[in-house]
Amino acid sequence: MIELLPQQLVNGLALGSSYALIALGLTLVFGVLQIPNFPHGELYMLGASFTYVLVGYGVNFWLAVPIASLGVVLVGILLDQVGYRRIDRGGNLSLMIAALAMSTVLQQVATLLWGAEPHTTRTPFTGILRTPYFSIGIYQIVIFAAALLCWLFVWLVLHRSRLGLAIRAMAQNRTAALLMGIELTWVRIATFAIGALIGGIAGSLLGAAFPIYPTMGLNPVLKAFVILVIGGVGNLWGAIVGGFLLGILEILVAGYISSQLQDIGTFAILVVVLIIRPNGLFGRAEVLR
Amino acid sequence: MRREAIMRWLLPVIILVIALAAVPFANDYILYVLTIAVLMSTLAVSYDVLLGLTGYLSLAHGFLYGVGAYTAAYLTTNSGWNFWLAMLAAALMSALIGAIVALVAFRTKGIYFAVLTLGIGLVGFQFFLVLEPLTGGVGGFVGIPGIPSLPGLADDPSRNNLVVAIVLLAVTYFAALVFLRSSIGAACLAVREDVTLAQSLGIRVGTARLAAFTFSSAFAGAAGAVFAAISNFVGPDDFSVMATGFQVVVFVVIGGMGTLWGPILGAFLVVCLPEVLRGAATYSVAIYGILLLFFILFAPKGIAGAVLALRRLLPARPASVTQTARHSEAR
Repeated sequence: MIELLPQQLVNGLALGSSYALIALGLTLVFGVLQIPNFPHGELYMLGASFTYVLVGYGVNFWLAVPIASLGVVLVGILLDQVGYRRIDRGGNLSLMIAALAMSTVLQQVATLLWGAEPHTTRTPFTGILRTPYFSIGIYQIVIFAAALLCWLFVWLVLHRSRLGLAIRAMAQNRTAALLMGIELTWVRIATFAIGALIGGIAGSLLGAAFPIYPTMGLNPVLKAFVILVIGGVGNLWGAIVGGFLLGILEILVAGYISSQLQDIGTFAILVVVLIIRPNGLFGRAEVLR
Repeated sequence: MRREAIMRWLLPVIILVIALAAVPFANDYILYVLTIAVLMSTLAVSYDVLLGLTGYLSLAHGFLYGVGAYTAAYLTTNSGWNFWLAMLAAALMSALIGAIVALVAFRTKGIYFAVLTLGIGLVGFQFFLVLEPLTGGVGGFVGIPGIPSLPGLADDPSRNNLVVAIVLLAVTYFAALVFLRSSIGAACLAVREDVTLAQSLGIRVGTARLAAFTFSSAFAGAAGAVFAAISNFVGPDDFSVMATGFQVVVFVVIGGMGTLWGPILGAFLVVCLPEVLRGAATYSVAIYGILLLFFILFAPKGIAGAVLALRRLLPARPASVTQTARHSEAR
C-alpha cells in the first residue's frame, strides 16, 4: 500500500488543482462583493459546453478555449447585471435565492440546448509521463499549470494594477471606497469578468477530460465552497492550498478506505471544520455589532 | 397587520370550500393533481416555519421529506404497521434526523448554512441510493399499501387521498399558527430580524431555531408518509436537492415568506401551472427558476405581498371610511 503513496499524492494534487481552479473564481467574487455566486458552477459547465460546441464545428481546441472563456465572461457579467445588482442591498437571503434561481435557469437552458445526456470533447491531451515513482497524464500537468497561472494572473491584476487597487479597496471597505470616488459599477463588472474568465477556462480545460452535462457544475461548486471554508473567503492563496489539500484528502480516502466515501468524506470534513471553527479554518472571529 | 390576520384565517377556509366543492365533480386525474398540490402546500407551510420565521435557507428539506416517506414505506410494507401509526413514526423520525442536522448546521450562518444543508441533502440522497436493504436503492421501494379509507369513502380511494391530504394540511397549518403565536415563534422572528440583538436581549436563540427546524422536519416527514402511501412507490429521485429541496424554496418565495398562507398559494400555482400548460412539462424547472428570480427581484414579498397590496388599493373609499371611523373610535 505504501509504495502507492507517491502515485496517490500526485493524483490528489491533480484533482486538487481542478478544485483550486474552480474555487479561485468563486472566492474572488465572494471576497470582493460578498455575493455567494452559486452559478459559478454553471459558468464552469458553460465553458465546457461552449468548447464542446466549437470543437464540434471543427475549431481547433486551443482556439476554442479562449473563445469559450470570453463567452463565459459575457454570461458572468450578465448574471451580475440581471440578477445581483438590483438586490445588492436586499440582504444575504435574497442574494442566495437569486443565485440559486439563476443556477437552475442556466442548467435548464443548457439542457434545452444540448440535452441532459453526457457529451465528451475529443481530448487533445493524450500521453502519459512516466517516472520510476509515479505516472501522470499530460492533461493533469496542464490543469496544474493552469491553476497556478490563473492564480498568478489574478494576483498580478489585484496587486499590480490600478483596477486591482480599486477592487481591493472595495473588498476592504465599500463605503470608504465609494467616498474615494471608486466606481462600484466597474469594479463589479471587472470582478465578475475575472471570476467568470477563470471559471470558463476551468470548464473548457476540464471538459476535455470529463463528461459534459448540464448539472456537472453542482458538485465542483460545492467542493469550492468547502475549500472557501477551509482556505478562508477572499483568500486566493487559501483557495489554491485548500484545493490541493481537499484533492489529496479525497484521493487518500478513496484509495485507502472506500471510493464510495469520497464525496461523503468531503462533507464530513466540512462538518468537522465548521464544528471546530465556525468561521472557517483560517477565519477570524467577527465582532458583531 | 390586521389585513394579514384576516387573510391568515380566510384563505384556508376559501381553499377548503373550493376543494370540497370540487370533490364531487372532479375526475381522478384532477383529484390526483389537487392531492399533490395540497401535499406540496403542507411541505411549503412546514418549510415556511423555517425559512420565513427564522430566515435560514435550508436545502435539506427534500431529504427530510424523503426520510419520512421511506420510514413510512418500510414500516407499512415490511413491518405491517398501521398507516396512521407509521405516519406518526415517520414524523418522529424526520424530526429526530432534522434535529441532528440542525445541531450541526446551526453552527454556521448565511451562505455557509445553505451550503452545508445542500451538502447534507446530497449526502442524504446518496444514502437513499446506498442503503439498499432499507430503501430499495435505485429501483426504489415498490408495493407500499395505500391510505386506509375513512368512513364513507371506502369505494373511492382518490377522493379519500385528497381528504387525508387536506386534513394533514389543516393540522400543519394550525400547528404552524400556534407555533408562530408561541413565545418560541416570537423568538424565531427575533432571530430573523437580528440574531445578535436577540442574543443580547437574553432570547434563547439556539432553542428557538432548533425548535423551528425540528417542527418543520416533523411535518415534512408526515407529508412524506402520505406521499409514499398515495404513490404506492418511492424512489430516490423524488427527494433530490434539485427536485423537492429546490421546489420548497420556490413555493415559499413565490407565495410570500413568513406569511404561512402565501406558500399555500405558491405551491398551488407551481404545481398546477405545468398541468394547465400541458406539453410545457420539459420547461417546468426552467419556469420555476425564472419565476423564483422574477419574484426575488421584483416582488420579494411574493403573491401574499401582492394580495395585501391589492386589498389596500382596491376598496379605496370604503377602507378609508372605516379607517377614519376606527380612528375616531380610538380617540
